[in-house]
Amino acid sequence: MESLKRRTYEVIEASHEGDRSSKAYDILMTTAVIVGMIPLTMKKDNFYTMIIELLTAIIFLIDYCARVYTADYKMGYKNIKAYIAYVLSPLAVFDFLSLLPIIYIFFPVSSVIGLLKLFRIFRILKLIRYSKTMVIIANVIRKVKSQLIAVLILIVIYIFVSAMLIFQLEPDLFDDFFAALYWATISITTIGYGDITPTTNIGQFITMISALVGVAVIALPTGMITAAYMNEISKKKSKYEL
Amino acid sequence: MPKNKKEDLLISDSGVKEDLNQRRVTAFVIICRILTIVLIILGVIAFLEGNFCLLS
Repeated sequence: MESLKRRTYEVIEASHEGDRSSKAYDILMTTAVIVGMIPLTMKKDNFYTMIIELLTAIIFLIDYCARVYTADYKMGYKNIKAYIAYVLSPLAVFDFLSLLPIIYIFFPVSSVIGLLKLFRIFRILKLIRYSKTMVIIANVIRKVKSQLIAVLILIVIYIFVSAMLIFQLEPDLFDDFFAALYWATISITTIGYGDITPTTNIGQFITMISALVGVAVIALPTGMITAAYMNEISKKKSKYEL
Repeated sequence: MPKNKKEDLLISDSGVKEDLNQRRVTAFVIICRILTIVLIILGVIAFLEGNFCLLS
């Protein structure tokens, strides 16, 4: 029984050289993830999308059960805590969320349940497991997580402050505070759709400041991730050279 | 009295021993590949039907 569990774990994890079963499983899962996204490219479901939904739902349900069953191997320790820790880990939570569209297949009754179909998008995160480069990027983001959160907080604070300022200085321009938040976000990211344009001098001045701050602040996460990624790559290179 | 151990293997008269584990691996791989192909075909048909109405 224990050998079956170990073998199941080996098969569902990313494949190693020469393991035919694991490789076939990885290809099946990658295909299921990509094909499972196809219904999202259409306005209305058709007969084929329903079959795709049912088939991918069964595959993902079996995959989820197998992952929970082998959680002790994944976590590296053998007790009930391993199962709880695994179920609460980010990838397992996304796996669970991606299973929710199954409910819509059997109970397509209300529009609220219809929204569950959007949870299909979480399935794309399954691909992280099957690509070594994706794993590196995930590790890099994990390493610079605290810095990224700090920058995100800075951006959110700036968006709120500039939205409050412009909302008070140009009240005729915005119907509600959400529109001001939208304007602040579009300005700080330097996208600037131009659908909301300040007319007073002070409003235009705030817009100019937002654009300048945006150039500096929005570039920060990109630089952080690039630096950490290059660091990770050079570490890997030196490991092979040694 | 013959000694019967768990790890003893019974070899057929022809001398060919079929590895059950190998057969299971092959069956699993075939099922995975069939499902993969079915999914790809369904995906292409659904995409064409849903976006271009080529099949109806």
